[in-house]
Amino acid sequence: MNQNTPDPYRVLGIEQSAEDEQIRAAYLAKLKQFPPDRAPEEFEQVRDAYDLLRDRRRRARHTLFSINPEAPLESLLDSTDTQRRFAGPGPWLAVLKER
Amino acid sequence: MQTLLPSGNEQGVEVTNAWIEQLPSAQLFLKRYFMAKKQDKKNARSSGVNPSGAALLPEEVERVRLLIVERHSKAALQLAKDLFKRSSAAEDLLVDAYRARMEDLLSLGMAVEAKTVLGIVRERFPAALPRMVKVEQEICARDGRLDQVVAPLADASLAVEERERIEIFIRQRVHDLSALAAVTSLPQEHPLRVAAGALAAAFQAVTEGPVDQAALALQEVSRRSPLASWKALIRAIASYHRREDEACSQWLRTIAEDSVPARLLPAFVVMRGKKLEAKLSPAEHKLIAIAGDHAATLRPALAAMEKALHSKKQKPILDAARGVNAASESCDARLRERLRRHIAVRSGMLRIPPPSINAALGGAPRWDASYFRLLARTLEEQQFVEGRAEAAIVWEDFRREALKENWFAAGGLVDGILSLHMAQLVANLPDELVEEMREREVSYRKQGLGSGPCLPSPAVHFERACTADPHSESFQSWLNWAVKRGSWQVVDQVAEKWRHALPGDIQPLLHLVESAEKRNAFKKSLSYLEQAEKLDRLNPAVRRAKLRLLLATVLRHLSQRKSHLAQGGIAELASLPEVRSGEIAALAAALSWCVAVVDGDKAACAAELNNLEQGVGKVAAHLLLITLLRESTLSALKDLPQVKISRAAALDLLTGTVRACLLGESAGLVLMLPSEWDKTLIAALYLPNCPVDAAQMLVLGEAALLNNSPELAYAVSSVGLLQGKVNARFLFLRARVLPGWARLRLVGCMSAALELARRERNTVLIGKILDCLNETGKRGRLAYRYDPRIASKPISSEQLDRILEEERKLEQFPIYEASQIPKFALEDDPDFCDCPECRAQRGEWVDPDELDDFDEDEDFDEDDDLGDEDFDGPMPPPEMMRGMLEQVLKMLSAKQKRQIQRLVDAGDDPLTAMDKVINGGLSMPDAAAKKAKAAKPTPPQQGSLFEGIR
Repeated sequence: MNQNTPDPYRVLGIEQSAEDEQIRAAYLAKLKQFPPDRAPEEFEQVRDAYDLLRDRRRRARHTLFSINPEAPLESLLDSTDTQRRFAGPGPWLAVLKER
Repeated sequence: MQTLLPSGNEQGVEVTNAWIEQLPSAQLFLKRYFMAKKQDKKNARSSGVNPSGAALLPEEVERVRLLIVERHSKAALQLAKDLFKRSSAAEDLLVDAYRARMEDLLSLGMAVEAKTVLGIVRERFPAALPRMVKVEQEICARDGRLDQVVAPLADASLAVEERERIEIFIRQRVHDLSALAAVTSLPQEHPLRVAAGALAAAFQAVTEGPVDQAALALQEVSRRSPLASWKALIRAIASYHRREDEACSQWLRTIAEDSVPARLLPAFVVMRGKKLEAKLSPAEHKLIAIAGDHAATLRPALAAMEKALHSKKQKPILDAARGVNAASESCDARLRERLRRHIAVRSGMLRIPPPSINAALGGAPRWDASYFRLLARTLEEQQFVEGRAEAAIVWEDFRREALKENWFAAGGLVDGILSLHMAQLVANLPDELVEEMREREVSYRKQGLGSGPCLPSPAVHFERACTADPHSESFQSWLNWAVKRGSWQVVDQVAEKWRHALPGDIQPLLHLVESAEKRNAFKKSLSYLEQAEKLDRLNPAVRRAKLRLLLATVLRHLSQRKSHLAQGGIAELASLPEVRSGEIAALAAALSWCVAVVDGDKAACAAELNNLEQGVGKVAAHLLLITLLRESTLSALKDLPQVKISRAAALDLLTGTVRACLLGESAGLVLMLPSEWDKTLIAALYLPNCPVDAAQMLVLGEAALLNNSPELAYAVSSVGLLQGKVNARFLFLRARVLPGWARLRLVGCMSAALELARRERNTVLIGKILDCLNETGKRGRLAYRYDPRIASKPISSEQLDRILEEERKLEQFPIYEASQIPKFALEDDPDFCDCPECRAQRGEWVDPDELDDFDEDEDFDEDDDLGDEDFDGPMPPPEMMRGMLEQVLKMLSAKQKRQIQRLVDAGDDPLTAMDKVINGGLSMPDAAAKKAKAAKPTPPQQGSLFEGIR
């Protein structure tokens, strides 16, 4: 897999355990969000992601072989969304409860 | 008797010894009394209580206060209780001690216990309750019972101090905004409730996702509200997520230090990528792990790690790993594990000792499915072939762990795809490596070391893959592997499994047809063909196979002289649809002629011959008949009229031959081409009005190749290249027809043909060329193997043009010339070097004489002292040397073998012994075996011959 290819699951905003229907629903939702005339680059990413995931065999091959051992270590940060994630109120309140 | 105690004597009574002597119980009494006194003194010393007085001593009070200040509330309370027992003046002290105890319990999170203590105080010291208000409020706050705490605020006439006290409490203690917004002791429109509600909603929104600036306006919260710090906190969180660090800092600075939101200030420092000296709580660590900005601290550390890995030096790698470990301390555990896994695997590939790298990373990575998957992929990308073998083994480990971790189900689609991948990995390994690894496994078992790392079995994995995911491509891979490795029974089993799994696929049936045909099981072959026809009657392979099988059946009947059966076959053959007009009819007529020969029916022979010649012409008829006679082992050549080439026009000969070749190709017959026709055919090809087109010429060329007529095949390629059409196929033909010593031209033609086929996207031709490159073939007398590296060697357009230009010029079949090197050969490229040494290095056959350095023109003095330096230089590869020595050994007599054995037993090495027996000990490069230079006998003086004659 090309190290510059975004993770198709992230592009469509779904989990790896998503089934065919969920993948299709996510694809249609993303199409509405990124129509080709207004967001051509994002549209292409969404379309490529769907092409990869809608075929069961290609999806399975992606699950198994997509990891790129030669990818720079910094690229691992991008995939884990390490940058200031929204944690919800729980973890913040847990700290506030302490004296 | 006198009493012991004085009565009314205020001044005491003198105790005499007589008392004691007379009253043993008194003695005991006194003893006990004084001992009790002593204990009281001791107790008084430790508690600081004046054991003797009822009033509180200042130091006692001081002691209790000190304990309270030092947060030893339990000891302070106990002491205060003791003092209170002595004197009620200690009540205040006791209440203070109770309060300190409750505060300590609350700080330890023991609100229930604190509540119990409060209950005791309320019961015993109701007057002291006003002093417990703060603690009571805290307990209420912990219980979520803010109603009581804030209830006084509903009174508009509440004293300012009291209002302030409550607001301070809210600012410093209330962390549950939702509870505050829901208190029933205040009216719904109360500013505090409204503010709390707005803040609770805003806090939820800002921690769950991006919010608009308008949502952060929070007009309901005034600057003087006890909840003002919350407003600042919410705006700070919003700025943090928008990466507006400056704004975030400004908002954090406005948060009151004693407020509840101030508890988040240390975490904010770390989340923004800065260091903090103070120790963080588990809740803070968790928040930082989830919401912190790890990229800011990790990126530099990872960049340094990447640089160290590229340096491939151990110390920088270990130092960088420690840096990554430190930088990732606050990160999510999953991210840390991922980093650890990648760094450990990459370091392992560079042979960094695992214990060292694991220690630097703060621990070894978990050997889970993710780890094995990464390791397997990394091994696959290695340049050396052993890496792929190891990858296959590691994929097995991945599968085991992935099934445990429920990545996929056993026998499912993903399992099938994985199994196929593993099978293909092992199937593509060199045989020598597989053999070596299998031997190692056996050796492990024999030594009792278990099985060790086992190479997966392709057969098992192919079967698993095809069972889990029945797919044509998977079955085709399996079949291809079985063809190379297994017996025909194994291959047929695979084809049968394919057929049953995918009944709509025609490929397995075609394979079974061919397999049965090769074994001459024509009946079985035809039964498979029948099934293939049901699937796709018009398939070209099916149609060709039908014709071929029927023909083979008839020929067998003819060879068995069963003419009646042959006739049945001919009738069936004749009913086949024509591909080219008249071909089937001609074939049927030719076969009928053979039947007539078997039956001895000359009239029928003549009739069928006439039919045949009318259909395809004399030349084609002749070729067809001699071919069928050969195939059916009938000896009736004398019955055939000969074709006199001297009379036949060259072009007629050519067209007739081509027609026969086309028929032969359709029928799967290898036509016999009389060698005496070659010259005429070649001459006809060069005639300006030659009617044969490129496709027909290629068929003729292939037939010539199969007939071992290289000159004719070469001529076809020459004419074809001159015409300039389908150059790829003519180059391919030429490459196969060139003699082995013309290796450079052969490689050039093959490479050019492959390149042209790729450019034309002619996948059929590409497949044929690649199959040819991977086969070992015979070329004349010599076994020859094409260099499969040709397939991956790129060739530029300039090189291609040069090859075509030169090959077009070389129209004549080449005659051996040692110094012949085509102009297009790349002399700088060792792959194209044709010298004996380079050919030997590539594992190709080299005439041993070519490796001889001797110049035959020079005088050879067998008495010359031959040193080691004379045998320096490249020698044939070891396998070749071994083969040659084995050949020599085979040729030895029994006596020579016994002599050699005696010398070996005496201590000579085998080669020295062989040399002594066979060569008399000459010419060995071994210094120990070098013969001493014998003195040359002096020639007789000329004069001495004639002495005595004069």
